[in-house]
Amino acid sequence: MNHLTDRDIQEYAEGHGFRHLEGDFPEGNTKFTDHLAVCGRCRKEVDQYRALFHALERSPGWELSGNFAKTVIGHLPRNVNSRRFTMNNYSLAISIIVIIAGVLAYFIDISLLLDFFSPVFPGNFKLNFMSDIIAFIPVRGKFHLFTGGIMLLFVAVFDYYILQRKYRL
Amino acid sequence: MTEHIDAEKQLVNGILAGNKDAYELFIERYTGLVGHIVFRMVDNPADREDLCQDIFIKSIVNLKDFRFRSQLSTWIGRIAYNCCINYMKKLKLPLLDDMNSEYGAVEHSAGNPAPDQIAEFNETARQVERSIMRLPGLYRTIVTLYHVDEMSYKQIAEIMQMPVGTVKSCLFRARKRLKSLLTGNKQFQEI
Repeated sequence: MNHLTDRDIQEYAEGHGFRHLEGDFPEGNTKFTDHLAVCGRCRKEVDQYRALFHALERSPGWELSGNFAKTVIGHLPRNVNSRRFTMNNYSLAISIIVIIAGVLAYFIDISLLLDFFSPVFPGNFKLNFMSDIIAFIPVRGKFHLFTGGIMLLFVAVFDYYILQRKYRL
Repeated sequence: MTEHIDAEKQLVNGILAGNKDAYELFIERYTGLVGHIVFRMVDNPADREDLCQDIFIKSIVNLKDFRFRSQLSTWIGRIAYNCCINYMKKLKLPLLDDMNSEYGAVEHSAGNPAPDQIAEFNETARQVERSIMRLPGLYRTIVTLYHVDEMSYKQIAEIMQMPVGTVKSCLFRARKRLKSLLTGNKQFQEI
């Protein structure tokens, strides 16, 4: 006689008397019931599994200290729910700054800007130094700054909405 | 179902608004689930409560990132499971270690159990508990989430970040091992 497999027996035991469990045993399937009617060995296994499932429904014995909730609340950081500046915000902010810098570098005469901010700087050394650097950047380089910013923005958005979304519940 | 989601949203909004009662309700409601996962996966009693605390703190701090794409219990269960995994990795503890194969073979004999015999078996819950503790942590957790917390395969799969098929296989294997372990139990053998 071919006996039922252990998996079949577990499915059968689950499907009969354990409604909340997800046994795949279909109602009205006579293949197993016919076999169980004549096979004491498989019947015994079904009963053992049923008994096991009954025993497993008991909650395991464990307990936490009486003031557990208060301890947790006491350990919470202050301003726990304030909107933090997360990594995503940082990457978005950097992208936008780079884009703005790219636009400025490409379309605006930087020396005018530097003249505008000249009262901020104590001497001419910094202004000259910065002007030299900006003059050194070729037009194509300024354009790269802009496209670089766009790409950074794209990566940040792709990471947040596509990659991270997969792992967010 | 909608009522359930509304209740969860209300609870989450209460916590995000800084309502202390909502904090307490949240902790009270999910202590069972978090406790089951931690107590099944972590053997050292001294570390269990600290780990439970860490899990709740992490959950509350990150609650604003919860998107209601799953049940709140699944989300917290996943945090609890990941914390336990990190704890085990830190201590280099195996998740699926080999079991000591002291359990004997199943003896087969014909006969139906009487209801009172099944009731008798309930008294052997302590032996069942001891047998569960001889299973690897992964099996223990799956068995507990399924049978005690009455979670579906899908929810367990989401918590443990594994395919539903793998959860099912682990559950079947775990219960087979448990049954084999328990055949050494006199009352169980009599069934």
